Amino acid sequence: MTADFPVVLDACVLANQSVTDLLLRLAETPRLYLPYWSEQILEETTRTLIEKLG
Amino acid sequence: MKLSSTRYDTTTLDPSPTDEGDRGFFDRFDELQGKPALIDAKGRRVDLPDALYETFSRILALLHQGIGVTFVPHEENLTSQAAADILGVSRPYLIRLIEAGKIPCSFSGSHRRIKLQHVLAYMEKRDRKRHEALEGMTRKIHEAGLYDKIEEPEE
Repeated sequence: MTADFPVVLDACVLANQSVTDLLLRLAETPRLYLPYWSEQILEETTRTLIEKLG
Repeated sequence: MKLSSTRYDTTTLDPSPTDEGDRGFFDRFDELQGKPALIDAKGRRVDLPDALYETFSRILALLHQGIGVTFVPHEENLTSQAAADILGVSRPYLIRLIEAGKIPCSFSGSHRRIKLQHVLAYMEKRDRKRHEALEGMTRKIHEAGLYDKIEEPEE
């Protein structure tokens, strides 16, 4: 069975690799929730990762 | 349990949790041992193939939990909204997938009709690609030594 409630994954979540890995796997079929993000969130994630990892 | 056909070719079984007969049936089914078979009034016996028995058991388990079950043949034509709901995408996104040739569709007047089997085939391909991408991402994170890094919360 699949769940259909939407959850926005913001940059502060996506910039943490192990958390992102876990959350995206929970959204695989049969999903436990529907993950969403935007181009803007991905840009911010990229900026944060560059800052964090140099 | 109650049988209803909402549309041609689509069959729905609704649980009736208060039905005494149903409850007795579930209890007796749980007590069965070995492989069940169908026996008619004349005592003729037909063994259930494993796959059919497995399917039957899953349907009964869901009904027992009070969850209704619907059978939809792969040939069944769905509306674009129903297909979008199955895939967990919006209707405009589904129409973009159709226009990009990723999912075949036919028309009933001006309404799009999508066969369930094409929706399921797309879903399987999409899920496989997603899973491969996730495996690749995990591998890269691990190789970069970032997986086990514990981050201190910022002040």
